[in-house]
Amino acid sequence: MRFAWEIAAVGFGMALVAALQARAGRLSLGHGAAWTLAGAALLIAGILLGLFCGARAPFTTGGAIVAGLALALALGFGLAHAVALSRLNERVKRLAQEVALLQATAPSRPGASGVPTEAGASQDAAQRKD
Amino acid sequence: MPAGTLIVIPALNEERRVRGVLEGIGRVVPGVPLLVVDDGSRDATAAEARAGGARVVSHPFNLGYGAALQTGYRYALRQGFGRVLQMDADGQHEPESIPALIAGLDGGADLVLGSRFLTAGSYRPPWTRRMGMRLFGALASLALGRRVSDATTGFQGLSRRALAFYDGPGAFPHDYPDANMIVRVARAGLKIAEVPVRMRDNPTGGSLHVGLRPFVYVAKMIFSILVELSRRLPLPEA
Repeated sequence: MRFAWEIAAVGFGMALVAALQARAGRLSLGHGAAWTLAGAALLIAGILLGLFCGARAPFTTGGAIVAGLALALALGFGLAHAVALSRLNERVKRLAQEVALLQATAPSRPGASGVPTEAGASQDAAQRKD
Repeated sequence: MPAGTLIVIPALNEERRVRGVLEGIGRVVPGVPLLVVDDGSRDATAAEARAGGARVVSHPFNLGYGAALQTGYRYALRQGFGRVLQMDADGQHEPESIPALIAGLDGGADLVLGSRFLTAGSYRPPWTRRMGMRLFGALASLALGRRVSDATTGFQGLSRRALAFYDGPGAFPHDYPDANMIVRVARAGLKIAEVPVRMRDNPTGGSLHVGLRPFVYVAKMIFSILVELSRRLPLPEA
């Protein structure tokens, strides 16, 4: 019985944390929506389990606490990983945009095209004289 | 066309249509600077766009529709453009509607939405999309306290103030900016206007929203609108 309510509590916590992280801009909207929905699903599942299958729960009180903590820990790690992934994704995209903008707007570097520049050509000529 | 206007066209694998789109725009507003943001196309989109007279920024790999738009906004800001019109590369947005967007910006709006539903047109999306459009229109209208007839339009005009607002870190979603951005812009105090535009049905029937994506999209958009409503935003710089 207790484990069912723990599932619900973990789901509620997960949905809340995911929504707050998305609100703060640390979690992308896609990840935020997915984790919040998953948390809401766990919350509903926990409530239903508690209401209808409480008597058949396979855990003792101690076991339920350990299992609940393990679930919370696993999901917490998953959420933290999603936050890190979101931030990395944002940075990679920003970097890719900057590369694209630089390629499109920066004046071409002398010699970058493989065609000798005036200065490079005269240097070559001077070297040949030597 | 007022000086300092850039038309931004995000494109992904549109080699067959992008040139026609550019030519169509050129017939309505000759000489306007055009920017195609090639979002990691695997075909000759970039080459076709250049051949059509557009400037091209090519993403090294696919970054998403939102990122392509934001690249266009950043390009406009850095090159000193005062306003941007954004259009799709698939030919759905009719260039004849460009003057209406310009007139909206001239009227002092920061974000001008080209609405498909303010005029009796021939645009008739499938019922699933129509339902989504109505849902987001209703949510945006509720959030803004005024009617928004087309909250999912990609045919928009943006002032420099709106561009600067979108340029902030994390200010613009890279995957699919939509009704949530209208809510964000309005809550930040920028002025929004809607003008009637005409759109064609997608000639290939293709869309970003295929398979399970519409369901994911609806969930994400409702979530993002709720997140937007719960946020406190600083006012954008003028």
